[in-house]
Amino acid sequence: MPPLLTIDLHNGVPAYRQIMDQIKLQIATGVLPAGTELPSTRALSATLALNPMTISKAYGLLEHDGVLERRRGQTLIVRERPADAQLTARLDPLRQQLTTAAYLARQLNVSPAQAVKLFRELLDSKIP
Amino acid sequence: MISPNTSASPLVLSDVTHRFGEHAALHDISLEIPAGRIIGLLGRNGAGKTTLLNISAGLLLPSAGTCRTLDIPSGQLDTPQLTRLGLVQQEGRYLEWMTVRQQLDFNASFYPRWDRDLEKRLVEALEVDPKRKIVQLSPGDRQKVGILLGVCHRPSLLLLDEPISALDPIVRKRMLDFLLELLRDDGCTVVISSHILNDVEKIVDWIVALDSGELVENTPFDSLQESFAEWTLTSTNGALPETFAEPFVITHQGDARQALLHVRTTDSEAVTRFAASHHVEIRSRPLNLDEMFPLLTSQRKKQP
Amino acid sequence: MNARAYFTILRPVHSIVITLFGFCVWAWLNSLFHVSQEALFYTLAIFSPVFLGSVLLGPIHEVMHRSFSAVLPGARLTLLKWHLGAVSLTALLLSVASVRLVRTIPAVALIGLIIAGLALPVLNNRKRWKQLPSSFFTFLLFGVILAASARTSVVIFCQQSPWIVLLMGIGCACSCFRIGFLRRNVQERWREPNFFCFQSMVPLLCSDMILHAASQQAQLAQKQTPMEGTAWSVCAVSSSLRDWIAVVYHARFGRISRFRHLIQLSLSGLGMMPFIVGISYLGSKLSLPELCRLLVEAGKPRGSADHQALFSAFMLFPVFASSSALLAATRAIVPAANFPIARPRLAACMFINAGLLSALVLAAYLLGAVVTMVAASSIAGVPFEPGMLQKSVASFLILPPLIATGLGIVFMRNAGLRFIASAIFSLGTLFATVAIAVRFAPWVTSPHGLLVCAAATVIAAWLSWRAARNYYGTCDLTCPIAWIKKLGIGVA
Repeated sequence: MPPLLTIDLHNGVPAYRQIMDQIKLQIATGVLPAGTELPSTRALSATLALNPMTISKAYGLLEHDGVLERRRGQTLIVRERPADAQLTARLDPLRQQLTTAAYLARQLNVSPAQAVKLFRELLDSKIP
Repeated sequence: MISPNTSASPLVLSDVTHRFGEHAALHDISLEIPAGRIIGLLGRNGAGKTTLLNISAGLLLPSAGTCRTLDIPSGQLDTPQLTRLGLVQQEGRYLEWMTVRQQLDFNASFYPRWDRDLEKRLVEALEVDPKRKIVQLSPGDRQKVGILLGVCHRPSLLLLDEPISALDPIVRKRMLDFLLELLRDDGCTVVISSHILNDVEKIVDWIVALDSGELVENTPFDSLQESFAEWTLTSTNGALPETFAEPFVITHQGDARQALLHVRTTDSEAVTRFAASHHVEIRSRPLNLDEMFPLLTSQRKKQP
Repeated sequence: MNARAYFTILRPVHSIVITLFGFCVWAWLNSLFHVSQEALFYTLAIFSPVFLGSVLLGPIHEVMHRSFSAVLPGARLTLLKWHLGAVSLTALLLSVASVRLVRTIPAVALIGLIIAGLALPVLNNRKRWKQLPSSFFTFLLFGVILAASARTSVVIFCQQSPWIVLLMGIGCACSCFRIGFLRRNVQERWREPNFFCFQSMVPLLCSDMILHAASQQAQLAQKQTPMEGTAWSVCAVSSSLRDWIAVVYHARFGRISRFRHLIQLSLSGLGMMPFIVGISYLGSKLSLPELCRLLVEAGKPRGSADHQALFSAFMLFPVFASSSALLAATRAIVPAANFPIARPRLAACMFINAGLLSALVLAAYLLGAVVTMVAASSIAGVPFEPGMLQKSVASFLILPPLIATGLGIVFMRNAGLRFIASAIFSLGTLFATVAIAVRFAPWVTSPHGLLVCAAATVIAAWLSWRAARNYYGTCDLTCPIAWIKKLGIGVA
């Protein structure tokens, strides 16, 4: 099953970076468990209608970061990672979102205590 | 399987200058096109894009400098190179009395490797009626004929001058998909010049930009995306300064409380240093090609 | 390029039509100039090679003059190869024919001339006349002058030194092909894409191409340095009909200055009648005063008229004048732009302009006829009588209703009816009407006759106006009178 990736080509974020971030997110959320085989560069570029260079770059960097590994020469699979690496992987996307929230909180002059209280409420409510 | 392409550059320009009478259309252009990429050739009207492509294809001989296409001086391109070169001109002229089918067959007779299957698929995808005479076609359909003629022999270097500006959105998308397919299957190098930055953004991975005949940019598209940004500044203590002296600031709008900056820098620490030195909070947003394009030229004007 | 591709561009049917047409024109010229003795020699060894060489070359050059051919691999040499093949085959056929038919010249010399003639058109670099004249035309002109001035010496030279002629011919052919297909001569041709070969311009068969070529030429002409046009004299255009007639006229004809228009009109008006009469007597050995006397005699009401003079001066010329006037009117009725006026007003502007223009043209020709008759009588030494003008005037009086009717036919919407009407109102009808008018010239020029002509004009004009109004009331203004444009009229 190829990973479901949505790439926005017009928001200025390089496509390879979006692919990397989304694959990392999917691994962190468990959608792509360890050992899953990823589609070839060619196949993914056809699916996403993207330049194969872009896919190639994303895969290359993911491999370099230790997120993916190459088996049997050609196929790329999701690498089994140690627990602390997994935790970092799960915290990173959250950190990105919270940075924006923190900036906004400072702009709105919301105190850290109030902001944390709000965050806790939202975590508990489970309403999307 | 796309491997890093280490073959020689299919298009090398060295100090190319070209004049039309008094006016210099190109001024000292030196660049090497990387192989196996899709290169977006950007520039305003009259920037010299068409001249550059025509020189590359050997249609024009440069007034000064040299251009090597497929490893041969462009003025001496002959059969072995021309079978591997594809050119789609902006306002190409064909034998207007011919039907599309006749024109395709005529051109096909000159190429040893004319892919009939590809031609058939493309004729269907582009929605061209092969039985119509070229003289009766609308400008958009004529563009489609130009594309067919330039592409069906599976060139290894494809030069496209505004190939999709007159096509409707659906056909345009098919055309872009097809270009990607060509890249995937043949490892072909594609140079596409277009005003429709939205479309170019979807497929290119390298940008060459011209402004008034001069080269202002020759970088991978990723690097460009990563170096440009829009910063929203909010002051943390008092009013914002009126100007910012840093050389990477290209434009500056705003008042004492909030400012909007367009910056270009590859330094990842630039944000923190800037925030610290000017006591501001910065929200950074990447720019898309439409927003980047005007900055490419104004940045050149800023530098002495 | 394979055989199928070559025959696609050669278009055998079109080529045959053109060849036949060319030979008809040549035959007509021959009969005019009464060239009989060496006719076969000139036809087979001089005219045919050059003409056929051009016909075969046209499609090759047309390909070279298109941008797509600049990147076609091996195009230059392939086209050279095929043209050489076609030319060789034609040379063979012509040589066989000429060797069998022309007995006075040695075969060797004939072959030399044929080879040279077939190759000569290759030098044509198709540059527009305004720029430096192409080598082909200089050669051709030179050849024509030479041949005309030294007709017999060419023949003698061929008879005396045939082998030299053959060698010269082969040498000329080789260098023509070499120069004509040189890389640098071919490389720049794609920049002049407005070259269309004969095969693309056959009337009736290629009407859309003719229209396309005409509009391309018009665009090109407009892009070039504009000649001084007519200055616009109305400060602000009000809603009066008169102003709008001026606007519509300026849009169509304002590009050429009034002065040039006047010159053109005067030249054709004054020169056409002498030209037509002179052409019909071309082969004869008459002197100028004798010719003028014939003309004057033909004009006299009861003179002994020479049939040829009668026909050319009082039938051919008025018919030509009316065709000219009708053509001018047809040009005037095609709107040159989208005007912000109501359809009835557009119809009025167009119709009035057409009427004025055709009247002007007729008046110019009539004046020319009068001047010619006066001049002829003085050259012939015959005292001038007003009666000499009677036939001219009569033939011209009958023209306005005919022109108005012709214009009305143009406005017919039903293509079938229009075709039938044009067939009836053909040249034959025109000639017949003019002939009758000339036959009954005294009556036509009498007050009765004038009244009848005037009435006929008014009726025809009114019917024509109604047709025009109906047409403009319902036509598609984005492409009005499309069928006229297909003939190449009113495109500029």
